[in-house]
Amino acid sequence: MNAEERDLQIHPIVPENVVANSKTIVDLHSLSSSLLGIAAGVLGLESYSGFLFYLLGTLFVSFLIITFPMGGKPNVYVRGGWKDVALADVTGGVMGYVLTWTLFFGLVRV
Amino acid sequence: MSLTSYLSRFVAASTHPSPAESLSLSQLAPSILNLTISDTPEQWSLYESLLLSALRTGDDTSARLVLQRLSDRFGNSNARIMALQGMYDEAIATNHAQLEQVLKNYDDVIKDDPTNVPIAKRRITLLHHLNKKPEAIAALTALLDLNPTDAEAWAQLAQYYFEIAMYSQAIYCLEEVLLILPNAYNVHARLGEINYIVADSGGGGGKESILERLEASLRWYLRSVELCDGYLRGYYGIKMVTAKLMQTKASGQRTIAEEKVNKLNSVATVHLNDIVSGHEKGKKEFVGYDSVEVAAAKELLAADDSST
Amino acid sequence: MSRSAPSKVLIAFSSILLAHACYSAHEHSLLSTVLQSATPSAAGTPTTGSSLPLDITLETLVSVALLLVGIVSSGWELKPISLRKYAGLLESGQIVPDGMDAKSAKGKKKGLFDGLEERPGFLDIRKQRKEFADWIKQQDDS
Repeated sequence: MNAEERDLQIHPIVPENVVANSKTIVDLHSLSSSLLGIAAGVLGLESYSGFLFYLLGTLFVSFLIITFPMGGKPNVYVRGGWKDVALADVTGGVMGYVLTWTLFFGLVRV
Repeated sequence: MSLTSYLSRFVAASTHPSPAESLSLSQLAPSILNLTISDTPEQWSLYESLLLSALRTGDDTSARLVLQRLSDRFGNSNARIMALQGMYDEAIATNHAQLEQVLKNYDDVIKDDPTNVPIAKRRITLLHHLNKKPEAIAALTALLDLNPTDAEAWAQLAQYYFEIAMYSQAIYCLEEVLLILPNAYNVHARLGEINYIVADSGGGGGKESILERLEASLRWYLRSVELCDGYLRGYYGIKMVTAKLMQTKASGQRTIAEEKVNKLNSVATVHLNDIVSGHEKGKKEFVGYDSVEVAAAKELLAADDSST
Repeated sequence: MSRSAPSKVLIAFSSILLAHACYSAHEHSLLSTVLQSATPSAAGTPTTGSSLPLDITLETLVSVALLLVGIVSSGWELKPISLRKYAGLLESGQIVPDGMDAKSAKGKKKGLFDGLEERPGFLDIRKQRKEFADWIKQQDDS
């Protein structure tokens, strides 16, 4: 039994809560990445600057998640701490982001 | 009121509600029965709870109606429905002969299908109720042979052994429960309680000395608060056991150093004080504790103050 | 999920702001194309997307930032993953388990492993019935 397994036996975690929390975080990220896409489209960002905007926006959202629902203590709610919050569903969020980005880019610039 | 809010009230009530609570729950019967049947899992679990509370309060007409609807939906041969039907028969039986008849029905069912766990549990409960305790224990051990991962049954067996003061058997059964559910902090606390009772009644005649029992009890209690932050029952136990350990001047091998015991005692006192005063002031973090348990903790603290 | 009133206001306000920024950006690009076709001398240089005026850019950024704050702060509930903490919150009644609303849970704590002590499968209905009957009798007497 390695140290991590031992620690889990002494301080057990509640798997249902881990699943529920990560679902909430992924939901928040995908919702906000669509909104970020709207902003990128309106601003008319192109190529790299658009993806940079997404990364910055995701960092901002992660900061908000850690501040508001987590009260500044990410370790209580996710196993990996702040990294898990920031990296949750980055690739999945890109889809929603690109979708609204291109949509609004097209809508605003006739 | 909607279905979910009714269900919420029943979920909030324990399986052993106070009489006043039972009454208020069973008074919901007419309005619940008037709801349209939606055939959702919530609806049927609400019916099941309603049946129990109707039987508790002697509202046999509602109980009959609810049971009828349940068996119309799930059929009479469903194990769970059979158990509910059996419970209804038990409840309305007026004399001993009728109860014996119910028991005989259970025997017949078990003979046909030994894997019918709900009925087996009803049969065991009825045996126990009829004061046939050895038979109940034998039947329960047989059930556990068949189905050794049933934590509820192990816990019940522990209770039966506890009632007839066979403490080491009770402890064994609870340890089995912990093999199935290693995080069950209330079972840890229960093991602490039983070990304490054994020590209090003079060691239970076993090999272990009183001191060893007390230390075992302390260890169980400590684990229970390690698994559950602010567990009132656990801290209560720690305070009780450490106080006892400090009094006992008995010789023998102490495995937990005396200063550690003293320290644990003061830690438990601090936690209990927090809970009791927080509960009295109505602080948000503490209002959820059970009032009876808080009162007991207050008494323990008061007794401690007067003795020192 | 219960939305708090300030978050609701924030979400509504910033949505309007974002819609307005969107509309302004649209108008701006429309205007510049019209201007461009009116002055043929400039037709050679294509318009770039970054030519948005500063006020619209700022409006967009601020509205999205506020919208995100509003959404994230609107009462998303997370549960502690450590059993010790979660069980403690349940035992002290600070969080309500699933399937119960706050009103009916009031004054009744529910632990994670209560089933092991209540043991519904072994419910002694006759005993409970008798207890209830005795209680009723007592109520009638007093």
